[in-house]
Amino acid sequence: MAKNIRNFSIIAHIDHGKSTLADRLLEYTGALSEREMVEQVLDSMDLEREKGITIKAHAVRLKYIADNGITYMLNLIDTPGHVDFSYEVSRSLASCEGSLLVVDATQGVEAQTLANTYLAVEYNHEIIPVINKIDLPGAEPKKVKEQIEEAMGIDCSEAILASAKEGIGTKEILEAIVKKIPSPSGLDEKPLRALIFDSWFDNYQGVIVLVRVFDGIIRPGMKIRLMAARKDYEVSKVGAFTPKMEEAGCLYAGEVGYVIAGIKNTSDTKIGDTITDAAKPSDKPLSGYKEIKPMVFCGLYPIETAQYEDLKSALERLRLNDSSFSFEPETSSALGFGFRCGFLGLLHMEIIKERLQREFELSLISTAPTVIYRVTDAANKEVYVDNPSSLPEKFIKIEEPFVKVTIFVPEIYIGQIFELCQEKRGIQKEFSYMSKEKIMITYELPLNEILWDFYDRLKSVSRGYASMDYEFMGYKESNLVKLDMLLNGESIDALSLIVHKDKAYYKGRQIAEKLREIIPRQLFEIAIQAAIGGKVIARESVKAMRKNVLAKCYGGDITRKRKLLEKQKEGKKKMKQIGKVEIPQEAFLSVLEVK
Amino acid sequence: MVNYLYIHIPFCIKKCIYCDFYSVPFKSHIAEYYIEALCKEIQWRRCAVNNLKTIYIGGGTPTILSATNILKILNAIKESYSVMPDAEITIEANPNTITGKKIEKLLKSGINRISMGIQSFIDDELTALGRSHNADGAIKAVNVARKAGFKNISIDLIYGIPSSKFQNSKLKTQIQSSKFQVPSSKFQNWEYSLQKALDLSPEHISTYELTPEKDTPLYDDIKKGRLAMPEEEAVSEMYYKGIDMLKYNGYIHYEISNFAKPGRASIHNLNYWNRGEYIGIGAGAHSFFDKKRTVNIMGVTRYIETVNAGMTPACLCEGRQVDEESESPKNLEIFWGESSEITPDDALKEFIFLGLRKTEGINIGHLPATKRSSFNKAVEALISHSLVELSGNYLRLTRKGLIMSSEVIVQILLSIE
Repeated sequence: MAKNIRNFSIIAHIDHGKSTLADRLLEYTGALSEREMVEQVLDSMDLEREKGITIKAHAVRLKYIADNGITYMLNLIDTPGHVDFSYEVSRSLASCEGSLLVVDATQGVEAQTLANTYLAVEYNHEIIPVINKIDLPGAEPKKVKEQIEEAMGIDCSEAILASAKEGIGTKEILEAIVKKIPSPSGLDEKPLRALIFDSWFDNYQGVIVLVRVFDGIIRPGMKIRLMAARKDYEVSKVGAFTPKMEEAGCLYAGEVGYVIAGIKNTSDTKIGDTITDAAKPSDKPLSGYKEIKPMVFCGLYPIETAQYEDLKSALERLRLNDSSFSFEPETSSALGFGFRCGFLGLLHMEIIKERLQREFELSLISTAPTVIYRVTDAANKEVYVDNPSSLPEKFIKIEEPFVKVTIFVPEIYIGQIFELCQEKRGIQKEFSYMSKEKIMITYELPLNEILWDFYDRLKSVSRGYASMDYEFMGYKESNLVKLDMLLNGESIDALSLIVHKDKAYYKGRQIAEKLREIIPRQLFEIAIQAAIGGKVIARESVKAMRKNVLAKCYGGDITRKRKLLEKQKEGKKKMKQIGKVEIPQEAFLSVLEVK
Repeated sequence: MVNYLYIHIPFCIKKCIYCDFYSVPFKSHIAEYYIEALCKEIQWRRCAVNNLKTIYIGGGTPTILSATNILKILNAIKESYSVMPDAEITIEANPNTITGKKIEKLLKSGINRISMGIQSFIDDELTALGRSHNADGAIKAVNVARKAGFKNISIDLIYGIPSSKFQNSKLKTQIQSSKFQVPSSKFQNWEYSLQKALDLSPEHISTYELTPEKDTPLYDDIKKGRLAMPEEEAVSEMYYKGIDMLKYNGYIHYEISNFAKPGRASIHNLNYWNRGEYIGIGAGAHSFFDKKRTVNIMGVTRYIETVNAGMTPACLCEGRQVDEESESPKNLEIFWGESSEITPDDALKEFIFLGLRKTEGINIGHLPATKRSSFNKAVEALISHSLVELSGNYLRLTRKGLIMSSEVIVQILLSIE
């Protein structure tokens, strides 16, 4: 019965208590007994838990008997909590009719919350403000309410005061969901239209797709068509997560659940695609579908060439679960055979890299992440460059991607934020007061400049108070040059980078210095040079090693000293030999560590 | 049967800032119990030890014990094992624990070699290192030993001693007021100490580069910037200065850090580098016997309790001891119970890294045939860098290679993986 269904998601800034609240809802509705309750059930990947964020969207079905005696089916659709995944967030929001807007009573509204709330408003969500953590000593619910009203124009007269940690307000939240969020519209009789908002690969069942059915019914045995992917499959199972996987006879219009249809690859189940009935297809897909394109690229190389095949199969395995990242074989004269990989953003990149190292036990070298440049070459042809070393020597112009960055920051830190954005070649666009002491600033910034340390520095100059969100704007011409690094006269392609001309000299000097610190002394002197277009702009050298000896080794030292030497040996194995020079992994990221 | 015996005396007057050996402050009543336990362990090892070629009483500071106590130990050894008539019997000594009377008794008891921890002949350096004696005391101690009739005396010296600005200025004033000729740089300090050592004509000299080991005050001081180690270049010059001066004066450079008059190389220590078996007795003492490297319980009290309870204090040396944090041997305790024998692979590694410490090098004929080709390739590269040389079947470090030995060994270990 669609009228007893409520589909909702939770909008919250990192650490404002989304996962804890989800746990409380699960617990309260008896989806999990207290004993079964592992903390933060929805964040099931270790990495997510470690980083304290939700990467993959999940959907959980809850059964709630409301005060009016009616039993409701509540579908909680969890949203990824990082700006890298904003498209995925938008698809999750599109699958619901309402949102809980969770704001920390001690912190107030943050940039990402604002961005996601606007998105929810765009999808006509009924928004239920929840002021969380009211049990904390610094809680200022009144102030936060005012802020929400001022900043987002959302009525807070009925905002719920809650503490997910203490279980305060849980029932009020559930009642508000039932009373305020509209039931889904849509008719079982119409041709099937179901929105894919998540999918992953399961070793036993193949791809599991999470969908919201807008019209029609989806049931096992039925032939379905993925409209954007233009592929047909036969449904084998449908059901919902409660949060255990529970099979159902079918999914009706308005429901949220999973579909299993013998799909082998998540690249076929594109987020935002529409599933329809192959026998009676809908003439129009649901709106909002976009092809996701990677924004950030880096080269990944095995330290030991023998691991190339392992790396390849690991990338294939990961891609099964994550169609938003891409990889293509590439060859570097310095690093040998590897892959150029594309990611949605930096966090996405970090996650994939960490999984390759942790789950697949690969030793990798990663080159510095880069954006994708649009270059008009000498022949007046437009080419996209995702690897600095492949920048043509002569070109007419080079354009780089720009993003619009929205920053929320308490007024007192504004000076530092201006400075940071200026250093990063930002152009200020908007400036407005959100409340008496909180300011919203928008900047246009080259994506390249916010890739590495921007977020961390934003946090550090504002003592953690600033928050940000960004969206892609488009390409703009910039005065960019290629900076090459040379070791003993040989240009190391994996160390090349594209930088703004005004910063090139400074960067070249800094990187040379950094490399001098990182590259250990070896049997011969190593000359480090930075060059622009063949002109050397900085020089450093690593002096030849003068001694490496264990002064003493007697009867009591032997096992210990052997281990010490073996440790040195293992350290050597982790280094990449380029020509005769041994380079530690971190050298390839050193180019990023200079401001 | 094992012919080499080590006895550990883990007591010191005070701990030197660079020392990572196991030792505790001396307390006479504990020492009594400890010696009792030592004697028990000596007895137990009867089935493994015999026809002793060397006995080495090390520490700590063995000479902190009374002559009576040292004699007790030696008697226990003689009661349990036969000692070869020409056995090398060494005791380590600190200058300020030596008196003419004590040393005469030691000589009479059969000890025929004394290894004196002098480290430096400059008072300020000795203070900086946390030594409890001064230069004068060191010279007197050697003279006392000589006078008593010791014909085999070894001196330990340390180079590469760090200094802070504060110490530098203090050092200057002290040296200026000292009766010695005034050395004016760290390098000259080293030359000075070497010369002072040579003046005493010991039969054996060990020169050690000061190495900051984890969990020592020195290591902390360096880490926190209170002390600065001298530059690699300076330290390596000091090392070569030592080699040159000692060779010039008739000493044979027989191991990375050891020099001896002809026929006076330490037989006991050579056994370590030759991978010979040895038994160590006492708290924290190591043994190599029957393809196993074992270590005795660290901790004087626990050692005594264990022995008195009739249990063996020995445990196998573990397989994963040196990770970042637990390099220090005092952490050995946590590795008990883990068993690992020396595999043929480990044995080969030991053969290489121990053997290459000797200036005569290693006989490459002992390498397994399967590893020869990659080994040869690595050696060729090392020869091209003049780090090693081949002489017949012997591979040895060159003058340049001696001070780069870890680099050489690591390259070779990589080649035989």
